[in-house]
Amino acid sequence: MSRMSLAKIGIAAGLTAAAATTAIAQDFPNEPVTLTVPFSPGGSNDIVARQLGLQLSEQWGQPVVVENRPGGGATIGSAYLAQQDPDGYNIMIASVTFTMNAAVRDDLPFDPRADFTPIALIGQVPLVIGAKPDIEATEPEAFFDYIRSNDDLSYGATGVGSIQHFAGELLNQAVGSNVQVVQYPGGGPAMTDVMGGFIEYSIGSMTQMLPQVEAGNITPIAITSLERSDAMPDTPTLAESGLDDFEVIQWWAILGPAGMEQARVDELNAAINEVLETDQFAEFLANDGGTPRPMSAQETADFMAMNFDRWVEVAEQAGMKDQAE
Amino acid sequence: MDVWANIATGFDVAFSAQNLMYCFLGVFLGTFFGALPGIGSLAAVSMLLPITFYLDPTTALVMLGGVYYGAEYGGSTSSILLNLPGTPSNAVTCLDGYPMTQQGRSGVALFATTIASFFGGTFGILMLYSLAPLIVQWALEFGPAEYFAIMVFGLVAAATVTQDAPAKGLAMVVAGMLLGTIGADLNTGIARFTFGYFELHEGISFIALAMGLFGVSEVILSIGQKIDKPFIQAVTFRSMIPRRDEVRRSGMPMLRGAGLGAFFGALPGTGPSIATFIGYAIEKRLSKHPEEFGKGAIEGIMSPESANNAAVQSAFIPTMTLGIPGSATMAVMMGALLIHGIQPGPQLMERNPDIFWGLAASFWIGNVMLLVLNIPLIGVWVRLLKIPYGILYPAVLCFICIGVYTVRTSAFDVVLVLAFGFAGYVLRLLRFELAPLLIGFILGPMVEENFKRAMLIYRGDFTEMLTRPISGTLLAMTALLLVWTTWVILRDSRRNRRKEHLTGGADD
Repeated sequence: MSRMSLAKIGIAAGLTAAAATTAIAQDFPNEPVTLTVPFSPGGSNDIVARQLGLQLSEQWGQPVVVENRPGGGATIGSAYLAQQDPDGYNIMIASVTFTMNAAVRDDLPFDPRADFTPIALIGQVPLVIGAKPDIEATEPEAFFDYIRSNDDLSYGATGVGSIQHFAGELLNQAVGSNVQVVQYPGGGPAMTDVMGGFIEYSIGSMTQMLPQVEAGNITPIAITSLERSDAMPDTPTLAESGLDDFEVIQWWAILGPAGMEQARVDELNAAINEVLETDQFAEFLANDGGTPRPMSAQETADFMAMNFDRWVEVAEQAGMKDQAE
Repeated sequence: MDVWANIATGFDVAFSAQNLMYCFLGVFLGTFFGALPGIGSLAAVSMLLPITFYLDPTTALVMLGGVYYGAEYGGSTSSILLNLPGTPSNAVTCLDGYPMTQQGRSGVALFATTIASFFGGTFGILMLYSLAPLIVQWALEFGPAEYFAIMVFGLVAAATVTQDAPAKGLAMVVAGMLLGTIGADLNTGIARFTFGYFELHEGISFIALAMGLFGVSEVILSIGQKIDKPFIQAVTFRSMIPRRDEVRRSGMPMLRGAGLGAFFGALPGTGPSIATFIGYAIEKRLSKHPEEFGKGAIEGIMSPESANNAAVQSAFIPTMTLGIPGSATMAVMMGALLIHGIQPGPQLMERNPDIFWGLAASFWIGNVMLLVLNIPLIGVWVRLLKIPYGILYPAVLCFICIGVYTVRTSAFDVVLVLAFGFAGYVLRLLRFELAPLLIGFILGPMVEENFKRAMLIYRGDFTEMLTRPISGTLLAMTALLLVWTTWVILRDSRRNRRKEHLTGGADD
């Protein structure tokens, strides 16, 4: 797989590279950059990484090789990256779950905070509370009442410490409800059981929910970002529905191994932000209801640190780790 | 009629020169990769995915789809000729396909499975055309309780795949279920039996298990054995024609296989392998001469081959109409659409009718191509047997390793496939059947997951499972089957013991 992407990008980039090297002898990057995706091909991390990689390789005139290293709930790819040279030629895509995993897993073979250098944030996409089609409480406030006053309800999530699980428990905490989590191997199967009416709702990716919402298979209650999304302009946010500051978003960032030189980090940050500002990239994310969110390297580091702290807190309050016992 | 207009549009799209070309390329590569033991559709589709970024989405799916169902066609070839399943869902085909080869009837077997594949594929496509929206609605009726019930039924049915020793079969099913528990538990996140290996966090790779047990073990078995190949015959068209009674015996198994395949394919999360195992078990139950199974019974290849081809076609139903991929391979293919900004789902048929109907049409064209491609190739495949095993088998080992590695880009899985190869070798020496182990491995975790899910949703009330119409019916059927099987086990073991007394030790 990676061989083939190398060949393919190589052909495309080879032409531009030939022209570019004669013009400016740039010192970085002067060889292919490897962008590790700790998941299998075809998922959201992979798709975002490939688009970013494509545009970066155009910008640099150097191939960006997307390498999938799935397994171990993203630990294999992450552990691999942590051990690479911190020279800027080895970078990785990480999402919000990278900071969530740290809050629920004791067995990570790396230190998610200390072993990585945050380089840049890519973008974000809100989640949608998608409820079963025949639910009566379709307005957020009525919905909160409904889940507060019934104690035999269940919601679907995609594993302990998944973004769906965190969003669900955060909602329980904010509303004061006690909806039971039921875990599924993926967002698709969880959504199917919502559509079939077996569980009340799941808080899932907008990409997956949108077509079902349009078909009337799922009732959208609210979205989890602070602002409404252009992809679902009629769906209110939780924040405007009485749950102040409620925000759970899926985001993606680019990380390097620990110990990178600041100058190299800034160079990469600038290159990535240049991609984020193109219409092409904005349109790409908008397809799934997402938006680019350029940040400096320092802001990215602060943002991730805030996430790490926040999820530890939520996990403790919800007793997410205790469910293991 | 609207449907006819849609079908006409579909064939219009599918008959464009570009789509025809990529369809042919897809089915050709698929049948080729499928025939190579170890490289199945998932590996082939993952390898080819990056190429499709440069194609338009319909063409990309036409090609990847061709690879997917082409692999099921080709997969039976090495099952029949070499006792090495080309893809995991062809594993059952070994049971009766290889004995046919040993009897010098490989031409018949290959011809018959090609017909069964075509029939199953066409059946699956007809389902896709006519019933897609209905089937989807119906699939939504399946919640955790229903999945639990059907998986339990499958498990009990699978335990009866074995030939002579049902107790040994049961033991293998249980062993498979135990292997299936390895990995992070979904409900707690706790890693079970991973011994600190992160590579085991998501469980044992099904491909590594299947290819190790069936493929590598076969290679090991051949070491040091002088293999004379009396069964290699010149393949003329005449020699491929099944006997008249075989033709008669093939019809119903093919139809039942296609039905089962279409059913399991359309149910997200299940898939072709389950359909083939259950199909085989059912044929053995229904047959008037179950003793012929495992010794070259034609029903034993017709049903699974028809089932897996129907399943790969109907697997497109949940993917295209719900946006929910039923298998890992389908997930990769959905990724191919997503990259082009097309979200498969309930709106796809309306919004991109050219894609939906074009694909469906191209699938059928692809099936015809496969039929035309495969029948003349039978002679070529059979000649493969003439390659000295000293050359063929090391090559096979390479293919298996490549295939296993590609699926998860994991060197650990390559070690695993070899380990399972040795385990399979020992088990085969001890005359344990391996097919029930595989089915236990697939179904066990699904039983557990869905049981836990149902218990969580119904707050531990087991009666809910018995009173829901679909799950209640299935569980009742399972209970009946279990009682009957137990009775058969007892009866046979008593009979065997008596036989042993007479012959002084039963062999085989």
